Amino acid sequence: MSDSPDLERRYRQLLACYPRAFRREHEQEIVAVLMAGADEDQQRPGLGEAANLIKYALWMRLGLSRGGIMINDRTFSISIDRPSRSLMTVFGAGRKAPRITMSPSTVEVRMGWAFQATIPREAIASARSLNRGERVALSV
Amino acid sequence: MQEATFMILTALAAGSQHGYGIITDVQAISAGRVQLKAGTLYAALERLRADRLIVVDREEIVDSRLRRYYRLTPAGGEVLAAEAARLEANARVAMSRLKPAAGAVT
Repeated sequence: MSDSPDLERRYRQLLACYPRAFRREHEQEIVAVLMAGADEDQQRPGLGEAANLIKYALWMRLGLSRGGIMINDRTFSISIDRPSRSLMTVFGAGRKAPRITMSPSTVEVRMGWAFQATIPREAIASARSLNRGERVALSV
Repeated sequence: MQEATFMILTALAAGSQHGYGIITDVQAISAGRVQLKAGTLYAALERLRADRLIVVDREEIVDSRLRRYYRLTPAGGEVLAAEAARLEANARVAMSRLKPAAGAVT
């Protein structure tokens, strides 16, 4: 059990990774749980605790928590590294509106006029973040 | 069913509990083996709520902290009972095969 404002602030920073709707509903009670589980003189979230929060935040953002809060019917843009851009244009997967659309059952990836993939959500075995959360890798 | 989910439902089978209560109860009933982290717990609670296996029972403010209590629904009780029966049947088969066959030793 801890009352440290610093620790609480750091926990809230981690919880900022979660979707807003989930945070509105659960942030207060999760902070209470985290503070109750913390050591009295603890100042920083434990590594395991922090990794666990980030993992499930990512899960929820990707809609992998079945039946939970899902990102549905939303479209995200994809950015392509500058060096790859010209090459991908040649292959028809270039700049023209590359995007990811999440629906309740699929994740659809479209790049340029030639590349399109529809991945059923149940085919996604896991998702992990690369580059400190700036990119996401899906294992199918 | 994942073990964490099974243990959370088992914790709630005895009555409503709040988040930290579930964590300490699961730790106790598993003899310290299952230590739920907050991220795991709330992902599971969110899913169980969406599946209507648990509901929010009530909310309390203790030391200016929010405590939300969850309880099993009848459907949650049925799912837990079915899973417990399945695990028990599996365990019984395993134990019976590990035991030396009765009467084989002379």
